[in-house]
Amino acid sequence: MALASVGVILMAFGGWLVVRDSDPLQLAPWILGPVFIHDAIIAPLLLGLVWLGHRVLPHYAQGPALVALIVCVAVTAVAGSVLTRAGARPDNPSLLDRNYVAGWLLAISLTLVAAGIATAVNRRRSLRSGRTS
Amino acid sequence: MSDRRQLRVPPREEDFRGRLHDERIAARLGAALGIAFAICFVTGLISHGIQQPPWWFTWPTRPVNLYRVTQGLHVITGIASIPLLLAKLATVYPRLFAWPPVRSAPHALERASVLVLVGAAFFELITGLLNIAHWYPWAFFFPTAHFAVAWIAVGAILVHIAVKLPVIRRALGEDVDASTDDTPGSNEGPSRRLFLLAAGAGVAAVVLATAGATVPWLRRVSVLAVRTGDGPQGVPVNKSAVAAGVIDSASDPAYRLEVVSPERTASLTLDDLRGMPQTEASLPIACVEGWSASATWQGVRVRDLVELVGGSSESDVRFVSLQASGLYGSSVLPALHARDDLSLLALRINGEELDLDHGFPCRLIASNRPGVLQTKWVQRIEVQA
Repeated sequence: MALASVGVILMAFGGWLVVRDSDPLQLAPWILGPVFIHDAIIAPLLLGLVWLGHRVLPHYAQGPALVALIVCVAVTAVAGSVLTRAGARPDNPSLLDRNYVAGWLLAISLTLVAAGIATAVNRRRSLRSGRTS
Repeated sequence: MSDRRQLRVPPREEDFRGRLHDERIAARLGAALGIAFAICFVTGLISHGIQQPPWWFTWPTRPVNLYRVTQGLHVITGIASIPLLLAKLATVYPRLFAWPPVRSAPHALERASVLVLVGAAFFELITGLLNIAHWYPWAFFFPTAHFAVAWIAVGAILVHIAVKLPVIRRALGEDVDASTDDTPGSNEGPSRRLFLLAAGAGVAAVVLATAGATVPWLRRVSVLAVRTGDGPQGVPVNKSAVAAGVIDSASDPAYRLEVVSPERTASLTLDDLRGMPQTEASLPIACVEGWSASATWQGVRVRDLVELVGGSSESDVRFVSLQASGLYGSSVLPALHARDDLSLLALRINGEELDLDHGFPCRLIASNRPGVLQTKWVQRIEVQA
């Protein structure tokens, strides 16, 4: 109860700061928008992929596929902020000074290759244990 | 695979039968997120305190890399929270479809607090991520909004922990993959341990992909870091001389540095500054955006300039830039830093005269401070009463 009270006080303080220092109407779309996009699109899409992977992939590929999916989603979410170099400025070449498309593709490719290798290892292991049993 | 279930739209909570929708995963991911947000919050408060110090706040001059570490952690834990939050929400997603949607007034309040929690958490992570990439697709001022919503997020986390405490206690005490208490049909999908492992892999991937902005040995691995760590004279730049509008005034041969105290005023040319005793210091430039880079700086001790105009070592010192506009055109160096041996009005970096983008003719460099307070293109130093 004490913890909840502290939480409510901190939330109220934050709300007061928002009203005092910012325009709540400018913030609202950036607070509620992501929740809506996540709940309506991103979560169903990803959970659908997990469900589908479980249905269609052989059991030895399911683990690597899940890890690869989460890694690719995480990397893509972070890459989204730099991929288009939207914040780049011609007067400052030290900012956003990488080829982010290449970096992102490299990260995705490495993940998929690793998942492929893990799948092959799993498959061999399951074949071998199948033979010995 | 024989159970061909009907797909309802919208679904109900009980329609989600994957093994990952489980309180044992939710509690473990939640604990990790709680720790990450706690680190973000504390390091964020530190950074805010240094930039807008309340009367009771002091920040030490040593270790020189402390701010580099706290702010690097702020950004790294924020980025690590992105896969953690997505994974956590995936495990509890069925709750969105609880039926009936509202059972009682406390239940309505709890659901509202979760909405606030998720909204505030997304807001903090998205605005933080875009801010370090210098991308501002919004109308509000980032620092004040990010600071205010952080309190809402942390408050909502505390409420959430308080509400869920019995569940958290129970769930953390159990083995993740024990299935004896599974409800029938809930054995679908990948194992829970594997899901946690995957979330951990996601965290590791995004940290490795970005942390090179502040961890030098990761530079080549961090393919998504906003900066490689390179720049003019080997050091990145946040605001260029062009962006600050100081090209003409900074390269004007008639440049004079004004040093002012309540007692007297000195007007120094660049050659006067070069003629004063020079000190060398190896200090990082550590940006609020989480990147940092070490450099060797040479210049005149701030202490010596304060003494030159008869100022007190107990006084704070204000540095005013040639940069006419902008919030960061001046900074106040607390007395503790002003009398420190390592606080310099730097003229040189890594053995060369400062590049215009690094603050030529002279800039402030002091230990353990955010880069935004290391004022560049200094035209006036005011020893305060």
